[in-house]
Amino acid sequence: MQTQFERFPELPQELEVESAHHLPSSRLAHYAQMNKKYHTLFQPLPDARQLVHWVMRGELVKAQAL
Amino acid sequence: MVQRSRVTDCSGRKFQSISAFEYALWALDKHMWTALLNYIPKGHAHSSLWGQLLTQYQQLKTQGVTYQLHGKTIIEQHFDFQHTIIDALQTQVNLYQAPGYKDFDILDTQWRDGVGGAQKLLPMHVVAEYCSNEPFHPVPEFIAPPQPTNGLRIGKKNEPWFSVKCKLGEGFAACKGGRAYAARTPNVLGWLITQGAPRDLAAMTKLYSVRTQDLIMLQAQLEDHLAPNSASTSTASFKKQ
Repeated sequence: MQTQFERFPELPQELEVESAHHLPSSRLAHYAQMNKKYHTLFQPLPDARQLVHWVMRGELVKAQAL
Repeated sequence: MVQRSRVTDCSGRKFQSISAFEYALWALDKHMWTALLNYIPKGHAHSSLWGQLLTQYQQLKTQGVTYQLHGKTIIEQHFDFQHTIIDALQTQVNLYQAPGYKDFDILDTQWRDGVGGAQKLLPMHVVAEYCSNEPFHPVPEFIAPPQPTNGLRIGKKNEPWFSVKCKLGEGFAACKGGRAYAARTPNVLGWLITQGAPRDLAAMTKLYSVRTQDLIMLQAQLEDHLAPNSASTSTASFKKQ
């Protein structure tokens, strides 16, 4: 996965984001810290996953806290 | 709130791309979408977000939500109350009320597999209504959010509805009726004591009706945030499935 990720800069931005949807949240969080561009692209994804996670479980308070 | 991601819910539905707001709409979880919307700060600075929310609402209405369950691809506007829990409970009630000889093996099997299986598909807010301390008889208005409880009563203990070791849909179905909790009920005799099946059926039918109406009314609320000085003339209609 690491080797594949190194080729990300060659991809169009839409494909980068689409590919990111297939990565685990922990790896996304890691990549989001690598540089400013990836932070902008990837940081919302773990937050979105976490929010849907709480919404699916009916956790009103946790969803609002996020 | 509008950012989409790939998720699997407690019933095993796999959504390839869904936002928190879309999931709340699909589940007909009024209290959740209300909580999410209440969190948006007031003011014109967030009009684009309200626009995105309205767009997602319209997409749900016109295109539905796609997910995979047990290898099948399903597209629907919202959780299918009618063809899951309502039909299963109605079948159970019809079987019991049919005149003549009753085959209790068939009744018990339909109760455990049919009703229990449908209960494993319920979105969490419906589970919360089952597990709340407000009885299903008389039928509630389903206006206030249900009070959180400890889950499904099994003997003297409580278990989470969706826990791995919970045998809901295999060894029993959940029944509430006029009680202040949902309890493990393995067969027809279990629900006959409290008339639980017809009472749960009435409650689920009412909940479906109320939440469908809530979803229709939401369109006007979203539109009002985009044009705060104009009266809404929404005529949105979600067809019941």
